Amino acid sequence: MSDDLDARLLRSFATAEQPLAAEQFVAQVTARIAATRRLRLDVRSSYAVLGTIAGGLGTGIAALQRVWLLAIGAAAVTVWAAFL
Amino acid sequence: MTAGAPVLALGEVAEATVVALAMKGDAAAFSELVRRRQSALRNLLRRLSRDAALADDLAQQTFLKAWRALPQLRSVGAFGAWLRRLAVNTWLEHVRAAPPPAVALDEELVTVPGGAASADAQLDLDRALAQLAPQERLCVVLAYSEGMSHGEISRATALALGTVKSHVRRGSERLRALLGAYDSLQEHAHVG
Repeated sequence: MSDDLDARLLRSFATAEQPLAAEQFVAQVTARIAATRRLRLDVRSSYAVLGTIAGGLGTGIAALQRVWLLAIGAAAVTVWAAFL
Repeated sequence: MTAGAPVLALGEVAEATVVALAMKGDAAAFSELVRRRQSALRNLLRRLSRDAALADDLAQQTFLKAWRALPQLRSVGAFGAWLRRLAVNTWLEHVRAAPPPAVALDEELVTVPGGAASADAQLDLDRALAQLAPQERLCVVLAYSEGMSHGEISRATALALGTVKSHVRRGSERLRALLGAYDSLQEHAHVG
């Protein structure tokens, strides 16, 4: 510390400094960290569930699209056969 | 059978080792860091905010941010300064969101239980600090309470070096005058 500081103020600050008990504070911080971790896990789980639902829907829609293709193909063959 | 190596409790391990463990996600190591650093950090935030409950909440927010950002810490030796910078930024964010109301000196004095005569040195300092503008208080507290140089304060707060010097000089003068005024009032109270 190279800057000139007032000696009286330095003494006042040193006198006013008091050690604070750790136990309760550490417990509170630990609890908040645990809560944050739980929340993140919940968010990740929600994303996983949403992903699974989206995947299922996608697969279902793809399958339906194939059924449509089959139906269109069958109708085209029927029409083609009728005009044959 | 060979004798096992002595197992050190986290409380006995050098801070650099504890920081390294916490950086890898060791929650017990981080709790140990909180235990070691909480008093200094809470005292700093109490000086800045002048509200013990708010200071503790800001200190908890600081440690939460530290837990999340710890893997990005460049060097274990920089942990202390890094944590202090996080605390200062947390307090500055709070001040920007909700600027604290200025408190008049006389109004403060009459609200102290038992009158000015019963006020101790800590109370005097806290009340005097409350009279300073937030940035002035920040610079004075970092210089006198944390022992930081003007350059370090400038880097930690993102204030220009000249601004920091000016805040420390004017804040110190004001603080000296206020503490002198408190002393005079206490002497009057004793005489009366």
